[in-house]
Amino acid sequence: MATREAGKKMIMLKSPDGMEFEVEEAVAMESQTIRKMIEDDCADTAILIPNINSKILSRVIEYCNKHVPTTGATGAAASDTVAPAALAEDLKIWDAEFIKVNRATRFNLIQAASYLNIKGLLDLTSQTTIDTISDNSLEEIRSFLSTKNDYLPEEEQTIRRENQWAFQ
Amino acid sequence: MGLSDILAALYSCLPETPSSPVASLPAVTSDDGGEDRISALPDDILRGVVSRLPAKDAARTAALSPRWRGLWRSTPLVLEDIHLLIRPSGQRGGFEFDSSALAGAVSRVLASHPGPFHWVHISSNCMAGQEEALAKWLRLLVAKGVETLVLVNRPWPLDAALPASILRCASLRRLYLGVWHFPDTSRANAPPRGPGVFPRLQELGICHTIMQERDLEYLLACSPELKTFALILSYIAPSRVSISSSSLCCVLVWLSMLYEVDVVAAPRLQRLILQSIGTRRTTKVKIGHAPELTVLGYLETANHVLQIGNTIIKAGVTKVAPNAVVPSVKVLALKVDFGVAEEVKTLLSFLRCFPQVETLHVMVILQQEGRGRGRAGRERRG
Repeated sequence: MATREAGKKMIMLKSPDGMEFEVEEAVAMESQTIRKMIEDDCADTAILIPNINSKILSRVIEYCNKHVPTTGATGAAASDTVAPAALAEDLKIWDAEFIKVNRATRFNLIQAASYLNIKGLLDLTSQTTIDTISDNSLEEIRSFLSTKNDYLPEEEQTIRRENQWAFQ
Repeated sequence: MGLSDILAALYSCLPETPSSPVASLPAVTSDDGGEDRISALPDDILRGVVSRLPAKDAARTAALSPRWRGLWRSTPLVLEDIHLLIRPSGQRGGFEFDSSALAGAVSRVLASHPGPFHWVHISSNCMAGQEEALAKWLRLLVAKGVETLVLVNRPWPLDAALPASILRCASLRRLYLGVWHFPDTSRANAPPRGPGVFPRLQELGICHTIMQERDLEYLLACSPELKTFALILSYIAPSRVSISSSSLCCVLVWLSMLYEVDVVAAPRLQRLILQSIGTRRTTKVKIGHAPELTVLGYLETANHVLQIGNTIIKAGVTKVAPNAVVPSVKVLALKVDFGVAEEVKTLLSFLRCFPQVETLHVMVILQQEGRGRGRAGRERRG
């Protein structure tokens, strides 16, 4: 770990509001979108990340920094030497803290995770929505999500009939 | 092991669910002026949400608003039958259990979703008397392209017949079967042996299922992409496992009682993980062609007979023929009772066969404290 800084290739990420973030290539490559750009040699100097402001981008980088796979001194995968369960537990606690944000920020993070194709972050940010929908009535879900029911009563009845098993 | 222990062990071996029925994160208060940001997200993200909901909740989203209408049907199905159990009103915890009601619910979900079926996990139902439902499910699973299938009979009768139509699920990538009598693959209703039967299957788990050796060989021969094979809680048949596969990387023989594990030809095999149960049976472990075998164990000095190539490794033999070593093995695990002189001799003979071991795991069996209770120790060799 002491040599973490040495010899690591760095990548510059730019947000549309003009901020620049220098990150390790391995961290940036947590994003499949950026990985593809790097692998296709489209990332010589700086990568502009459209539609993601600096506040959200810095949080995304924070997430990637935490989740980049750690490798041992020899570069071998750590699975044989470190207890993976302890590591996973630590990450889970960190994730729960990370996602304690307001709803607007959370949706911006969902969009960023989707555009940058970071599966773990997308799963994490979607979880609250999933929890909201699970086990609540349609009325409760609509109220939580601020969704307007635009169905005509007869339309809604048709849909309920199509998958009646789900409404029993 | 009693039946409940067997079931508990079996369930612990099944793949983890991708859907998330339990609230695990703190709810966040609405603070953005009642704007429906969720519905504004692109279809792909919403499908991601729908795919991780229990099937019932997922299907219900169609009634939220027109924005959600087609999403469940256009999201590859994720179904866990446990989410279809009906919770009695006013009670926490327990479920009302009605085999035919649950089977009917599973049938309705499989019938109403157009496919593909990304993940179908049916393991909560007792299949006695549900043969008709089972046959229907398999027809739907074949027709709608199931990718991951977990099918466990819970657990009665212990030899419920699995229909041969399971062999028609060519779309499978991952398959776990539990507590079945596997169909006879030599009969005319089985597809002919060949790579076209399970062309995409990567992971196969056979749990507490009665099957013949030739049926297991058939499965391996029919799965050209198979990477991981697990035989779990196998007590009666097969009693011998013969591994010939050009794709397998990992073989797990877990909590099973076998007479023989024979790696005949597995050029890509890296891990052979053995965890025997019971001490009455001697198991022959044969390593044939496995040039990439890196992780091996537990080898038991008391109950395992090791054969490398054509050479049986005997206790007390100090000179090892060059063709009776497996230099590729880097991680080796052994179970040994140091109180038994013969076992120590066997241990030394075993060790000579793996000259390049870097990590050695030794589980010390303490005979005085009763069989099967061990203390795990570990040391490293340079």
